[in-house]
This record gives sequence, C-alpha cells and structure tokens, in this order.
Amino acid sequence: MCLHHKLFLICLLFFILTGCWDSHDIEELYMEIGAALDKPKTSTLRRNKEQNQIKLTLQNISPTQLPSESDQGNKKKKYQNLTGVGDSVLEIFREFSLKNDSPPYGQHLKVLVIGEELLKEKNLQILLSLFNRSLEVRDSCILLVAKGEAAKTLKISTDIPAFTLIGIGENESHSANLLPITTNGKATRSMANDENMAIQSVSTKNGKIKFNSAALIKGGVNRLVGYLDEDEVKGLNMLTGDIKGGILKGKDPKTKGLIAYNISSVKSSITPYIEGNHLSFDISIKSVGRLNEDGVHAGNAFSNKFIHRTELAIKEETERLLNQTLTRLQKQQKLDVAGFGEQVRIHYPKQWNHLKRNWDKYFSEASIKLNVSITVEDYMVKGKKEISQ
Amino acid sequence: MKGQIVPMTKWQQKNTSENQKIEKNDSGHQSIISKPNDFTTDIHVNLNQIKQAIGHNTDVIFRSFLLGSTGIEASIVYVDGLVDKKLIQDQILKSMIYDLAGIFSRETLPTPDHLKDWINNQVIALSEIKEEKSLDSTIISILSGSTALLINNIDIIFLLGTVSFKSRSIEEPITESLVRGPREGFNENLADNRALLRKGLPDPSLTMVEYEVGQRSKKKLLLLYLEGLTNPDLISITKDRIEKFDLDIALESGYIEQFIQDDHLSPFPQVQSTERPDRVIAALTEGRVAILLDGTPFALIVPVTFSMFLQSPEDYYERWIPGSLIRILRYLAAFATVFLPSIYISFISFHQGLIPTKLAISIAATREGVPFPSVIEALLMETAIEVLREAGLRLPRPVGQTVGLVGGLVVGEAAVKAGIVSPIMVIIVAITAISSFAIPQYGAGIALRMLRFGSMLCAAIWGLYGVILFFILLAIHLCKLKSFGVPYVSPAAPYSISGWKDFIVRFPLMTMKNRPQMMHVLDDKRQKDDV
Repeated sequence: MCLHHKLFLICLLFFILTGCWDSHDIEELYMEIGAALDKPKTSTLRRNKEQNQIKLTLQNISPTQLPSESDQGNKKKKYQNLTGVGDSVLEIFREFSLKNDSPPYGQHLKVLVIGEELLKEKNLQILLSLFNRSLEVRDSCILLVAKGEAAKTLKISTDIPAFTLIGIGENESHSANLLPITTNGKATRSMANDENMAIQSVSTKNGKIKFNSAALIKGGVNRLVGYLDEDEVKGLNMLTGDIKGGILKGKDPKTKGLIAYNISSVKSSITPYIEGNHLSFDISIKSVGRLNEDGVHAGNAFSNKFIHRTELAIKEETERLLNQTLTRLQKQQKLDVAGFGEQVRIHYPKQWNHLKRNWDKYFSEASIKLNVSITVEDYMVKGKKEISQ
Repeated sequence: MKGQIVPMTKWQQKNTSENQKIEKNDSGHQSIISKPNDFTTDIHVNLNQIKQAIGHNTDVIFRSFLLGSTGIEASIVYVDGLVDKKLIQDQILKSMIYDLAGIFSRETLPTPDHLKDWINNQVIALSEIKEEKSLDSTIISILSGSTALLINNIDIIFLLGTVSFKSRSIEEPITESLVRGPREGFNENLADNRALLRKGLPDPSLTMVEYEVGQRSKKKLLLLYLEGLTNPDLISITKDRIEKFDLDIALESGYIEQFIQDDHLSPFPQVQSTERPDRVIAALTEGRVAILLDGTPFALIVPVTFSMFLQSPEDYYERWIPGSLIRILRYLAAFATVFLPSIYISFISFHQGLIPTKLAISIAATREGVPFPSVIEALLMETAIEVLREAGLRLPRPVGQTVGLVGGLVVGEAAVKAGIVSPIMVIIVAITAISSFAIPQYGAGIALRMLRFGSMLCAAIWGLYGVILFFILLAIHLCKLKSFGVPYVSPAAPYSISGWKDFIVRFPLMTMKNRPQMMHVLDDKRQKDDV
C-alpha cells in the first residue's frame, strides 16, 4: 500500500468514525437555565431515606412553552419548573427524562441556588460534585444561597426568574451591597483549598426577590455557618476592595444633614505584622468618589470646608461599617473570608505554615488597625446650593 | 476531422499536406476545401470553382464586369453583409471600370504581369490587398469578409480587405462595473479590443502573437505579453497549451479557458476572465499573460491566484485605506458565503451551548413548529435562492427584478408565515446570498456558492468538526492547486512577505515598488527605489 493510499484511509477515518449522533435540533432541547437544590419537606419523604434526600428544581425553557408569533396576546409562562426528589442529583436528572419528551440540556445552566437548610446539613462540595464532574454545566454558572427555600427563587414573578437572578447578580456597579459573583468554578477552587467563602444569598418574600446578605461557608466542612447582613456585606466589599459602585450614606457632623457619597473606586490593602506570637493587621482603605446628593442646607460644594466635612462624614460611616464587619467576622463567626490569611501567606510564608491549620482561631485573636481615607473628587454639576425653603 | 491550431505562418506552411488529409475524409458540403491547387488563367474556370464551393449560398454575390474599354473580363466575389459595399463601389468597381480605361485600350492590351502590377500599385486604393493561389484560403477569406477579385488571364486571385462588420460600440462592462474607473469595456471585435489595449499600453514591448483557433470557426486568438518583462517560461507554457488543444469551434473564451486550465476537477477557476481593458493592462504589467479571442468581450488572464478573485480594480483607484477595508470586507464575505450556513447549522443542531443563552432561546422559539431539521431547511432555502438568482439573470431585465422581489420578499415571507422555514434561516440565507454577490468575479462567486453546499452537508453530519474538516480539505486542495506554475494561494503559501502588501490589505502604492514576486518577472522594479 503506497503512502497516498494510507494517507487517504487515515483521512477517511476522520469522517467515517464520527457521525451525527450528537445532532439535536435546538427547538427539541429542554434548556436548563436555573437549578435549585433544597432539602425536601419531611412529609414527602420515605422514612428510611430521610437523611440524604435532595430536592432538585430545574427551570427549563422549552420551546413549547415559548410564545410564538401567533399567540402573542396569550400570556403563557415562558418557563417550566420541574421538581424531583432523590438521593443523587444525577438520578433526579435521569428521572426527568422519563417525564419529558426531550432530554434536559445543561450547557445553558446559568444559576444554581442552594437552600439554606440543605447547606447547613450537607457539604457543598458533595452537592456540586455532579456539576463539577460533568462537562455539560459550565464553570461560569453562578452560585447563590437562598434564605429559606431555594425553589422559591425560581418561582418569583418575573418573566424568567433565572435571568432575573443573573441580572441582579451583575448589578455590582450600582450597589456596594452585592458580593462579587461566585461562580461554580471559583467555589470549586476555594473548596479544594479549604478556604472559607462568602456567597451572595437571596431571600424571597411574596414572589419578590432581594439580594440582601452573604452566606458564610466554612472551609473544610463546606457548610453554611452564618450570614452577613447588608451593611456587613458592604464592609466586606470594602475590605476586599471589590467595589465597582454604590453609595455610602453619612451624616454631616455640623448640621446632621444627609450626605450620599457615590463610590468610584476603593483600594484596600491589608498588611500583616507578626511580632513574636502577636498577630496584627494594618488595613488601609482609600476611596475616591463623588458627592451625589446631600441633605445639607446651604452646603456649598465650592468651599473646601464643606468638602472636608463630607469626607469626614463618609470616613466615619466607612469605619463604622468596617468595624461592624470585622466584629462579626472576628468575634462572632470567627471566620476569615476577607483574605487576611492570604496576605499572611504572602508576607510570612514560613509562619503561615504553622498558622494555617488553625487560622480562623488566630484570626479571631488578631488586632486590627484601620486607616481610612476618603476623597471627594467631584461634586457633579452643582456647586452652591440655592435655598428656597 | 483533424483540426489544429497553429500560428498563422505554420498553418500556411502546412497548408498542402493538411488539405490533402481533409480531402480524404470529406465529401459533399465539405468541398469548400476541395482541391490543393492553383487557379488557371481562365476566369470562367476559376469562377466555376468558387461557385461550386460556395455559389449555392444566396449571400455570396458574384459580379462580373469588363475592365474599362480593354474588354478584359473580371469578376468580384463577396459575401453580402460582411463587406463595405460603398468601399467596393468607390474603390474597386469605379477604378477598375473607369480609371483603367484611360490607360489601356483594346489596342494596347497589357500583359498579365503588367496588369497585376498596375492593379496592385495604382488602381486599388485599399490598404489590405493580398494575392492568393489557394482556393481554400480564398474561400475562407471570402467567407470572412474579403472581396475576391478575379481577372481573366491572371492565374491568381486578389483578396481585398473590405471587411466591415457592425460591431457593438465600446460600452461600460456590465459584469464588472465600478464606481470609479474607466467606463470602457471590451466588445466582440478583436480589432477594437486590441486597439483598446494598445491605446492603454503604447509600450513597444507589448507583444501580440496571433493564433487561429477552431477547425471550423477559424477564430483569431491573440496572446499578449510584455516582452522582456514576462517570465519566458510562462510564455512558453501558455503557448504550448494553446497550440496543443484541438477544437472544432471556439465561440467564447470560455472554451479556451477550459482547455488551458490546470485542473478541470477543481471548483476554483484558474483563469481570470474580464471585460475590462484596465484590468488586462494591469495584469500585463504585473507579468501575466492575456488571451483575447475574436467574438467575445471576455479576455483571459493567466496565471491567477485566489486573491485576484477578491480584488477589484477599484481597490487601486481608491485611496489605500478605504481600498484595504473594502478588500477585507470581501474576504469576510467570501468566508460567509462558504461557511455561514454551515456554521449556523452546526450551532443549532450540535453546539447549542456555544450560542449565547438568550439568542439560543429566541432561535429555539423561531424554529418552533418548523417541520424540517435545520439542514433540510437550509438546503431548501439555498436552492431556492439559487433558482431565484438564475431566474432573475435569464429573464429580461425589468421582469428579472420583479422575480427577484417576488421571490425574495413574497415567497420568503410566506414560507416563514407558513412555518416551513424559520425567520433566522431566511436571514442567514439572505446574508449568504448577498455576501456571494459581493465577490467581484462572477466565476469565483459561483465556485464559493458551490462549496457552500459541501460545507453544509459536512455541518449536518459532523457539526463544527465537519466544517473544520471541510475547511482543511479545502485548504489542502488550494495549496496543491497551481495556475500556470504559480501556486494558487500565494502569497499566503508559499509565504512571501512582500506579497502581503497586496493581499488582504492593499498597502499604499508607493510601498509597492516591486512587481509580485510569485510571477518571477525579468524586470521586477515598478518604481524607482529612491523616489
């Protein structure tokens, strides 16, 4: 057989060894766009398996559900929620295939909500193992923790709830109360390193949703141990410097009027010091922002005094937030989610080896010094305020 | 029938032997080329020979007369409609009948030799006059528009150049119109076309070699190149190929193209055809060879590269930035022509995860209720649009536009409404069709449209993997292909940095100091270096 024939046969293999078995037309797919994991209600369970059961709610967009041109007036729901209970996530998925004409398709799964009850009991790593093992669900899938039942977040009264969740999650530049998005990939990495995590948590009420706190996950056990409230989330964001926007409200020290400060940027640096057995941190936070709104009568933005007062007011507020957050993290939760440990690892790699095993304990005992500087760089297009009252 | 294309001179040398061959094979109507002979001194015998050959045709006119008062019988033979009758009357008949009378009379009859000289030198005031001894050539000449003059006692025939055929005026080339650039295009008359080139390139090195093509059609074919610039190997290859093939009739330069191209199985055209003299001149000065055929406005340019089909003369007439951008656009259009439908098919039937979620959902919604798999849908629509294109092309212009509109809008809309195809598929097909029309050369556009179907099938069976395999196969084929010794995808492969100055981007003219490297020209400087 000459070389040409061999080459030809090899090339032929490229074609004949593959085929169209992967071909599914797009309209025949049940596209999963959101999923929620919950602990099932006890009444629905069989007694013997009570402990390990998981309830999976899948939000699907199926073309039959989509309003076509002909029935535009007809207000159908655009999505469909499927629910299944079982002790393995995969088993529930397979179960869905028995109930629908087309298989679920996971590549568009964008958001995964985990119920509080479940997360308190089960290791997140185990819950996510299916999503991480298979290639179908992407690492960019967003992870959220639901206060209360996770399935409810996929039933909120918006057009397509999963998209709403993603949309709110991406509003970082408008609010300082949102944590940076935790993706599936990021969570997996943190869990592999036994790191603590703060994951955005959401709560639902009367079919409305709010992103209002952060769930604290303890590394190693990967379970939910507590929450940060909105102010504390803001403080945590300041500590990590992950703020792209949002406001801080302060009170003018002289007139007690309201001052709204729009954050343009926050730079934070955490510097660890180890002297003997004593661990301390210097936190320096520098923020630049704009004066957007003030309730101070006769507040004259052209006067440096007023600007200085503004900066002072915001500084006080920032310090209050930081202290609140640090108190919560250090004293109450005893959990480092702001990256203090990382800085120690960088600055004192040798000591870190001893510290890392009991890091949360050391962290809770460390003393922390705050250094906040606020600069109002811009008072928008208004200077002197005319008072007509 | 043994026809052969040889340069004129050779043809004449071979005349006798060739005619003998023909005589053996033919009979009846073919008697136009009957006897290898000379004429006799008797005008009646000669006339009879001609009459026997072509006299039964009503358009062949025989006109007998006497040379003035000498009483010598003479006769002219011509084909009505191919000759300028006014010329015959004024320059031939008048001078033969009247002028000779003043010189000779019945008493002082001239000797035949004397008379021949007189006719050649003083009587006939025409620029083309030829003495012919062969009956076959005489008859071909008469049928091509010459007038034969027979005179008693003279055993040769004068062939007078009286060809006058109404040719189309020089108009704007229809298939290659430009916004900016000369509005002249070739017409069907070789002399006009040749003149257009001479006018545009009055360079003494412009060489034209004439061939006769087609055993029956006897068309003139011109091979043009710049002597001392064009690579001699290229010239000899081209000459070889032109001399080699055997053809009965050559109606259009497309016949020639198909005989001289390198690979007749390749979907890509390996010869460029153009109606634009400026394009031919540009090619000649780049060191290419041009071929002109009588009776068609399409000149051929060899060798070609793939990039030439995506170039328009306008790229050079415009400033370099818009010229380059438009050229890049054409490359994108060419890519879209081949691959857009197949990428769409593979996305929606294999790789739905690669589509942004919201787009995926809206595509799924529009495809809801479509009864066919995407590939059938695509094939259906692509075929429909090809039919529309063809229909619009063949119909008279006003009707053609209506067909385009009716087909494109009404049928498309109705098909979507009826749920047979999805609106997005209509968009894809329309973009593909429009892209294919953005390719300046019609022939290249057809090639790419053809390949589109192949890539669509690959996409339907193997998804993006198949599209990539198809692309690789295409790339292999393109790299292998050569046009007259020049690699088809040069300057990309084989790579030449200087060639990239005029490839996807057109660099400013002052940076293009040398002629294309791939042509291996003898004189590669286009501009002086120090300017």
